[in-house]
Amino acid sequence: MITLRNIKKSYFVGDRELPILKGIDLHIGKGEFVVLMGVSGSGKTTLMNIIGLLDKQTEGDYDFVDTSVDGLDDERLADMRNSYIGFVFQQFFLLPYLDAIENVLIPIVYSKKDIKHPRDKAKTLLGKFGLEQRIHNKPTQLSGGEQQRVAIARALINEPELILADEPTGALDSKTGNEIMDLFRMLNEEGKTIIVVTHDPKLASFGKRLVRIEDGAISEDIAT
Amino acid sequence: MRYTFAFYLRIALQNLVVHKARMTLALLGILFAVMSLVAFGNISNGMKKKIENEVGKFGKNLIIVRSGLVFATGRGARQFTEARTLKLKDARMIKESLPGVANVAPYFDVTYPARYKDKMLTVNIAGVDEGMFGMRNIDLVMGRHFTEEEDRKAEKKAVIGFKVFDNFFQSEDPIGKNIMVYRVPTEIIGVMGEKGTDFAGQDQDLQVYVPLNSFMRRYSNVDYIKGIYVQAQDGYSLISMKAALRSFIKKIHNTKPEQKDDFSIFTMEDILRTQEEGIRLVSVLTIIASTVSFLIGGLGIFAIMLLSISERKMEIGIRRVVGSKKRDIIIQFVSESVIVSLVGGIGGIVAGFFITIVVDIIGGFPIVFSMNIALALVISMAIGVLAGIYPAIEGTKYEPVKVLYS
Repeated sequence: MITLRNIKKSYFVGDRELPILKGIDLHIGKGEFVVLMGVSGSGKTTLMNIIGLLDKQTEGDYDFVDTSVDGLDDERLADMRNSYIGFVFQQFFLLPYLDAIENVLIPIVYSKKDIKHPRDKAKTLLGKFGLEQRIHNKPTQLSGGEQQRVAIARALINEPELILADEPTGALDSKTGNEIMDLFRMLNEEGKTIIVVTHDPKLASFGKRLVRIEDGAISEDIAT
Repeated sequence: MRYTFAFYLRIALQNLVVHKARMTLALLGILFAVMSLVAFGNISNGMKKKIENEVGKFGKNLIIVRSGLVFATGRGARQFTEARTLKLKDARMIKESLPGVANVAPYFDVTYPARYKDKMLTVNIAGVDEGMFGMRNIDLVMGRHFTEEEDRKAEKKAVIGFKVFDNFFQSEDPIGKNIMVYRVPTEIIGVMGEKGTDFAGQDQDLQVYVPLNSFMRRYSNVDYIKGIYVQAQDGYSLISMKAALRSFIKKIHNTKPEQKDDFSIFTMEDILRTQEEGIRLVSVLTIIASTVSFLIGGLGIFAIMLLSISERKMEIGIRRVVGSKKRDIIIQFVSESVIVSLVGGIGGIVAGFFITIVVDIIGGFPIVFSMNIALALVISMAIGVLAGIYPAIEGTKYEPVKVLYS
């Protein structure tokens, strides 16, 4: 599903080159549950942005769902993100003036897929996550765990193959965090490919594979 | 793209509700612009309609000749007085000799109190011949006009205006009753319908018409008249008729070229032109005012949209992440700006209609709604697009990675 070959990424500060990723080779297959671990500044977020088609590598090749995405323009990348990837962030990024169900429906606005009865589907997803009583609540009326579950429902509404989660438990207490990780495990069992990016070693046990990033390179890649 | 329009509409309306004060300020410019455009369009049409109605009431193709003011010298006092040179025979000669004249109606009028039992009322007493009734569309609600024979015999009979009847008689039958005019008992033979004020500023409901001959011999002892209504035949230009009339009267009055006219001539159109010029002037001012208002309104929306976009970086970022293209962001924010502008426009139409109704009722104009509404909405939409496009393009410059990770 994902094949990265010798991915390098540098930023330029003035005329000084600042390498962030120093040649990443990584293959992630369909149905995997990968925890991508690294400390702050290790390059894990940059790697996630490249995998999520939000950023482009400086060097190397990236094949996503078996096609090279290196030459694609912004519009095409937006379509790919919409069709194939569900994003989950530490800060949830729910729109404050929309209620839960409308937040879930945002990707549908831009969707090229023919999702049948998206409203019913959003309701089903929220119900599945224990939010049936909360579908018309605004984000401010929801707890952190509830907001993250709304965000996960939003990531799922357009039926993507890959869920890409960046520090999904970072803003939550450990009990709620574990519940969210259990939810990812359940989604993985239903066949979704999951990548969780985190600095928190406790999350490693939830995945099936651990990839550790240190100083812009992969230092460890093991099954857990 | 699904849900799109309803979705953006709801976001825009929610923004309106969430940021009430700010959005109201942004709306006000557009609201005032549309309000003045709509209100003025409606009111000026109402005024024009009223003028048309009054033309109908006044009579068709009329030219009015009035005796002029002359500078009289006498017994040490020198003063302007009314010329006494306009005579009955002038009217007769105009009718007989001037081509294009359909009819003439000489008159003599004066303001004087009339009395019935113990009630007094200041009225305008006019001696006219029976032709006047037809020329000035004077319809009666009771009784009849006087006849040529009654005029010739100088009988003391009167047709009275509606207010005169209403003040003196109320529910009494006025026909055959006598009122005192100039200390002359005068029998009422007819009552006019309500007509209101005519173009010369005369309240026609306070009018008492008596036969001209009776007036000149029995009420007042005069050998001259105050004026002549001249009705042109259809198809004759009133402007050239006016000129012809002027030189004709100068000729029969033997006015020398260097001498000032002892009469004046005006037509309905002369009065109309002044009024319509007034309306046109106000209309130009209104257009200037609403243009300025539209500009201010547009700038207001522009500023609010810029602010709104910088506040909603996160929204733009997350929308871009889940698959929105730059084009979608532009469409979203431009529709928001158009919707805000349209809400202002619709508010302006409502306010404009309200003002129209109030002004028309106070001013006594017929209530007319013009088609400025469509124009106002189109302009509002255009302002919305123009004010929203630049902020929307600015919005697309926020790259999701930078916005979400800062």
